[in-house]
Amino acid sequence: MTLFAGSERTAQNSTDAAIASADGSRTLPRQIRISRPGPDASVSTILSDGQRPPAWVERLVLEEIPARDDRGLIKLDALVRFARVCSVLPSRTPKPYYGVGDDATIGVEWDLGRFHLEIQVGNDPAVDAIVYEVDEGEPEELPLEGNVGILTFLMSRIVNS
Amino acid sequence: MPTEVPEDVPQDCTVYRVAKKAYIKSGGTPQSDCFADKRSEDGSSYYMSVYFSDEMELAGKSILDLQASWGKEYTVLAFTASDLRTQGERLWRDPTGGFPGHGACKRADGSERTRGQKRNLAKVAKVASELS
Repeated sequence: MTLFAGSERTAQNSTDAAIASADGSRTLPRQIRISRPGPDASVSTILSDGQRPPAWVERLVLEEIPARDDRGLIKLDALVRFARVCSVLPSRTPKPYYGVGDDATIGVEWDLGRFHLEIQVGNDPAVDAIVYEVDEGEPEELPLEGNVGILTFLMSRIVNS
Repeated sequence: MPTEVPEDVPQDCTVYRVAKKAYIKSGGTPQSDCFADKRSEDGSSYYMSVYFSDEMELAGKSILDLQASWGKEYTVLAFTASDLRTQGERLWRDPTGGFPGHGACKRADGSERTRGQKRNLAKVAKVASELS
C-alpha cells in the first residue's frame, strides 16, 4: 500500500490512498486519492479549501477498513464515498469504532456521552445512512445523501458540548 | 428432554449470533456491523445466520462448543426469539449439516436491514453470559 502526497502517479498493485495537502498549507486544496488496479483504477477528490479531516481518517481508509474487509466486499466507489464523508467531520472528531458488514457496508459509530452516532456507506449508495440517538432512545435514521451537512452539524455540536 | 424441536422457533428460545470479538465495543456491546445479512456463495440465500439454543441442547452442544467451532477470534451474542420478532425479524430453522441449530434471520418483509434496524439489534444483543 502506498501513500501519495501531492502526487498524480498511477495506482500501484494495491489499494493506494492519500489524504494530503501539497505542502501542508491550509490555503491549498487537500486531496483524497484512492485507487486500485483494474477497470476502476483511480479516483481523485479535491476537498474544499481549508477542510481539515480528522487525523485518523487517512489510516482508517488506507489500512484499517481494508483489513476488516477480509472477503473483499467493498468496492472502490464505496470507499471513496466513505472517505469523503469522514473528511467533512470536524477535525476534533474522535476515532470511531469501525467495521465491514457482511452486506458490503462500511460502518462507523461513536458513543459520546449521551449521544450515539453512526454512519453507514455501502456499495449501493441507497443504503448510505446516518443514525443518531440521544440517551439510548429510538435511533433516528436519515439517508446520507443530502444530509452530510446535518452530520457535520451534529458532530460539531457533540464534540463541542 | 424433548427428542425433537418445534418447527416454529418458540418465543423464549435463546438465539445466538456469532460475531467477531473485534466488533465488540469497549463497553461490551456489539457494533451494528455485526447484524448484516450475508449472501451465500452461490447467491441462493441472503440472511443473517443464527443458532437456536433448543436444537443445540438437543444435540448436546453448548455455547462454548459454538464459539470453539468458529475460533478464538469470535464471540457469541444472545437474544431471545421474541426480541428479534419484536424488532421486525423473521426466524426459521436452516440446518446446514455443520454445527447443530443453524438458523436464519431476516426482516419479516424480506427487505435489507437498515442501519437503524441493525442498531436496534445491537441494543438488545448481549454477549452470552457464559462468555462474558
